[in-house]
Amino acid sequence: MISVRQLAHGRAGDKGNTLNVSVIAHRPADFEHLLMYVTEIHCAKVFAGRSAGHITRYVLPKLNAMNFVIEDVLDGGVNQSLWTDRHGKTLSSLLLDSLIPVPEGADV
Amino acid sequence: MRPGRTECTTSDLAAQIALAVSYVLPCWDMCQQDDIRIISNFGGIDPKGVAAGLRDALGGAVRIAAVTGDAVPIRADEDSTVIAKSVYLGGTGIADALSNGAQIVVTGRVADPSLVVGAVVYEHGLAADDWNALANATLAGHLIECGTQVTGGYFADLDKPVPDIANLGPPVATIAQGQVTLTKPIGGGILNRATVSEQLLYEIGDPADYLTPDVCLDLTELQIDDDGQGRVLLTGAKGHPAPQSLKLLTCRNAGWMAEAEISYLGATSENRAGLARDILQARLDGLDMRIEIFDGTVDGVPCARLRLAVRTEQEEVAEQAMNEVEALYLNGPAGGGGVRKSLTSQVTTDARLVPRSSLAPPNVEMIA
Repeated sequence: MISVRQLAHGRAGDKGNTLNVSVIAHRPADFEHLLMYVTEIHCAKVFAGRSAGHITRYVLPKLNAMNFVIEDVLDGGVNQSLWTDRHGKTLSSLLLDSLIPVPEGADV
Repeated sequence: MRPGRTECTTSDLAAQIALAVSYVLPCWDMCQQDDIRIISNFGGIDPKGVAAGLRDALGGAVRIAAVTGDAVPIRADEDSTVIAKSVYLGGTGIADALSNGAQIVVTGRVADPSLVVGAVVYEHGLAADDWNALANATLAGHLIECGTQVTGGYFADLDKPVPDIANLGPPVATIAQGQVTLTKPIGGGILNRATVSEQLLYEIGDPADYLTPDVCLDLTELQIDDDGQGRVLLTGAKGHPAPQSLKLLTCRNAGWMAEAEISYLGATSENRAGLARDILQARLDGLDMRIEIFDGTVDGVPCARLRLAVRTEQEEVAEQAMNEVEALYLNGPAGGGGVRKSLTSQVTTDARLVPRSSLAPPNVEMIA
């Protein structure tokens, strides 16, 4: 297995109680592999401990990127949350540290 | 400070004026010399008050405009926790202010990218339904709205080094028909496809449907070209008609947030922090709370720091919760220390959409 972070980078943002996390392939060649394994179901498993609501994955093929929109995951959002990180800005690392299979022929 | 309409308003105004002055003063001579306009939403809840404060601080000989119309009156029948209501405005008021010759435009709540859209509408004379051009301007505004967050800020990691990270240079967006060019003329940091891609998707929902009061921006056909020399070109932003409704935020007093922390050091620190958690859970049973334990090391020595957070309507309950952490000095596990407490009043915001037709149009006022 390999962490998503080894193939991609990304950033988290928040709007109310909704979190978004981008996943952007470092190399275009890895994008198809990321698309296959970093799915909405994968994301739901990663955020299960945070009682995430509905998750939508948007794909931007021209940018070798995807955007996960995760609803109701921020304990009410920046003005209400009991977490130290009230925005949920650090949560990008949950997805980036999650594990997926190693791409075929990868030198990692 | 206790929450209350009057106190909040006055203290907010003084703070807002101080903030605006701190931004403008250092660069004001240069801006005057080179005819650079300043556009900011630092008007907070009182753009006219901030504009007047800024005028006084700059000695009076300045053309300042206040853009208002974001504030929505609180109806008499609304519950007493409501302290403010405002809608996100677009860029048209800003464009009008610039047309009136404003050197400084002070707004209240405006969608972040609209600060740039207002300038582009004025400079390029855009029609209100030139959706692709408005989308292109919105793209530029979105990319630079967090300043250095597109030039190496919020980016660095082991495999993503950022040069001269302590002195990040700000971005410059050059907006022409159908394209945005980003550069970083001065300072450290890095500007490339990766930094732009991360900022592009920052705080984005559906990339085909990024809504502002000015336009619906579609990013799905966007292309990013990186020349490898610190110049990044974006083309292909598409626009669709602006939404018929605006986002209304209702701000409410929402009780108190109590936070308190305590540290444990040494080989069994994690275990003792766990005991402290058990004590707090027993003594604060029933409260709306969260306990986090941070395990790590400090200067190479194992260390655990416990943090308690409690939300409550009652200030006394919040105080009591914090005192329970302080009491761990006497009654908790061995070797606790470094207690810090923080009590803050809470304001929540609810967002909903309201039809434009139900709102007064934005107003531009030159502050004499």
